[in-house]
Amino acid sequence: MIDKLLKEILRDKELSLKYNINEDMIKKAKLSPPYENKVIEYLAVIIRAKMVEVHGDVTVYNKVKNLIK
Amino acid sequence: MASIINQISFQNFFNYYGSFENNTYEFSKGVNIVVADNGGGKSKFFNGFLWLFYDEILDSDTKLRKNIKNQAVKICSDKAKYEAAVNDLIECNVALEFSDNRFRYRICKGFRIKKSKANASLIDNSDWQVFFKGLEVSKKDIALLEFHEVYDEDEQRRILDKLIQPNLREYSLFQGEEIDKLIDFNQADSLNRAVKTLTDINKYDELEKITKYVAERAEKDLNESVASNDAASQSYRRKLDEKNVRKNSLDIESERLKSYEHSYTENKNEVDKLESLNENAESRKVFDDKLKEQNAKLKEIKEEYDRLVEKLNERFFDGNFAWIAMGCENEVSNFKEKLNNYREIRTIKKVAVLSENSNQINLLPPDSPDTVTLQTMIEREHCYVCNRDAKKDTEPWKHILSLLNRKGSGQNKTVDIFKNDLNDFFGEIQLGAQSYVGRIGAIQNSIHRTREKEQELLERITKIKDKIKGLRDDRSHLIIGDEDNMIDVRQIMAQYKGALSRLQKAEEDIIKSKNRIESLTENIRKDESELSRMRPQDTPKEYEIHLDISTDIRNAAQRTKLRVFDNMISKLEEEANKHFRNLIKYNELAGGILKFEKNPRGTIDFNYVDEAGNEVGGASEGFQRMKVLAVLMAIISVNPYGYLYPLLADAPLSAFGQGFIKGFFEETEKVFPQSIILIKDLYDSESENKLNKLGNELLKNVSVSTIYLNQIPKNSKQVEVYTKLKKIK
Repeated sequence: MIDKLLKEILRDKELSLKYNINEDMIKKAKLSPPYENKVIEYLAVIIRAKMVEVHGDVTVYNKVKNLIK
Repeated sequence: MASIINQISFQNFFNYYGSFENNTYEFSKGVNIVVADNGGGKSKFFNGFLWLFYDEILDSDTKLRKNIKNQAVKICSDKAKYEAAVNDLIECNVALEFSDNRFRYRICKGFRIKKSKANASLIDNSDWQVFFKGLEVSKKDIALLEFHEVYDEDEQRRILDKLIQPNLREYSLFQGEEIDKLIDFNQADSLNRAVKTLTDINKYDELEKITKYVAERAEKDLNESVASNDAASQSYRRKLDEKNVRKNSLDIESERLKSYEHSYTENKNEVDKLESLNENAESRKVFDDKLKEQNAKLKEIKEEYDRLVEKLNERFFDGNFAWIAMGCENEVSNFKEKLNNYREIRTIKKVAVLSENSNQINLLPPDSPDTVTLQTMIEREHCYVCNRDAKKDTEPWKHILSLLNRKGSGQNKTVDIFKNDLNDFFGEIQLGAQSYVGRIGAIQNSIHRTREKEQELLERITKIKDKIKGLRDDRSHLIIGDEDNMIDVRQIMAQYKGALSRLQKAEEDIIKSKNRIESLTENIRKDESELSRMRPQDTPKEYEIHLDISTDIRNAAQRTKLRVFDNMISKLEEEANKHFRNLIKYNELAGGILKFEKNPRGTIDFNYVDEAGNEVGGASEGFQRMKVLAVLMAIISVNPYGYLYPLLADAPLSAFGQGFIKGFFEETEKVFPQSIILIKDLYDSESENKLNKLGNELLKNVSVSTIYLNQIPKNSKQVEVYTKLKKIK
């Protein structure tokens, strides 16, 4: 159900153009790893942490921040 | 996977007398119908759900929901209580089983009551002891046989919520008129609340907020990292300050926007509330103006009528009308005849007297000149009788002289024999009656015309009075508050105008504020872009990448939210009209068009319009309810996940006709994975299977999964009443 939210954001033209996200990647995109793209991973982690695991904003940020290090 | 109610059982619950086994309904996916006549147990069935979810029941006497704690004795079967001996315990329970794709759950609520004394009242709490049981929940894997008790209260609550989520229960459980309140089109927020509750649009709001937070934190981290770097140039810091100033302005503007949106909502609510009242007030004003005009006319005509009536007496004696002479036509000829007779007799008598002393007589016609006149005529040598000259010594002159000298004439002579001379009397009558006599022929006509005038005035008075009554009747339907209170009319019109003008102001403020926000956001993005170029070479790349991705995701989330919302509105309109057309397709009247629009605040406005786009008002109650159902179904339909809970409706369309009911059943199964409809409108006591024509059609309809018939044994006493259910499909 929440996967649709992820796919809908990835369908944003500017975002998909900048990060080379094609329709096939969008179709396969889901909240759990593996991720085909860093942006998909970022977004999936945010959505899962906030809406599935129901974490607070700070925890969500820390989870995202760790993706880069 | 949607939750499906598999079974609901009652034990001594209202008129569901006896054990669970005798009072169990088995349901499936799709449409399930319970048909019952009045008193057959539909509302009692519905009360079972109210008990499970809210610990309440609807008191049929007061139409209020009451807590079960004080109603235990009342809801326990009268028959069970009547049959119980002193100290007997009666079980009263409601049990429900439902399943999702993995588990089957069983929920039970109940109590026991004990009869304290013989001849106990069936409703008096003091005659009974009540022992409530806790919520009993058990579950089993769908593939297994045995249920296992769930003791954890949180888990129990979660299972109950799985059946129907708390925020969705109002859309899943409703009775009759409650449907109209589900979406109140006169309340600006009612539709938006339903959209937010029933769709996933809230998720986009939530995502926008969290991505905004992540992007802000990423920026903060990067700036802190750069600030600690000595290599950061003055121009970079200046640019950063500039950006922060803009950011502050953006925050302030966002707060302003919120207050404008708040004002918009408040005034929209007020405008919606006052709209119909204002329309009525304006219509009333039109009526009042017309009434004023008609009352003035009425006054004028009444005055004219009064004047006419007052003058009726005058017309009897007024020479111009001479009504008093009416019917005197013969009297005039009688008078003339009598007068002639009189004169004739008088002349003969006069002649007889004159003849006593002479054989000569100058017989003159009556009213001949007197002595003085004759003298004057002689002197002036002119005859005034024939108006000719009578020169001295001529024959005429001599004739006048002979008259003067005739026997008995002269100034000093009296003619005693002509006593009782009535000439003057008759003359006066003639003179007085002269004007009346000339009018006699026209009197009938004059009276007729006067009568016609009177009738015409009376008719005009009646017509105007009818018009005034009609206007008053029409006006009385325009309820605006205090009946017949002109102050209210003016107040409401002023209030409406005020709210409308404030709404327009808020609308303009919102647009301006959004433009300012857009401009500030654009400038901030430019600042961010410039800052990224100006950062020191040794700025940690991961901070920059982190910020870049976070910002892009935030912007994408903002754009997506708008895109999804805009798409949803057009889809909502399409779906609502589709459902509406289907719901009313068996009705003879064609309905209007349901129109959804995004307002400046970014929420949805709803209108019911005709093909030309003009707002339609005054739709019947049936159409109003179908509008609500169509919009509700549309909201569920636009939700990509559909609706995952059962619908339970008690008398949703009572008395709205078979056409609406047929449309409702056909459309319900397209939207709700399972519906349980309690209805009496399919019941026909004369029919062999107790179903009417539509009931029998539904019996053959494949989309209808089950049909139960509730019946009450005929001629039962109140204490013996119980519901006997029969599965007919």
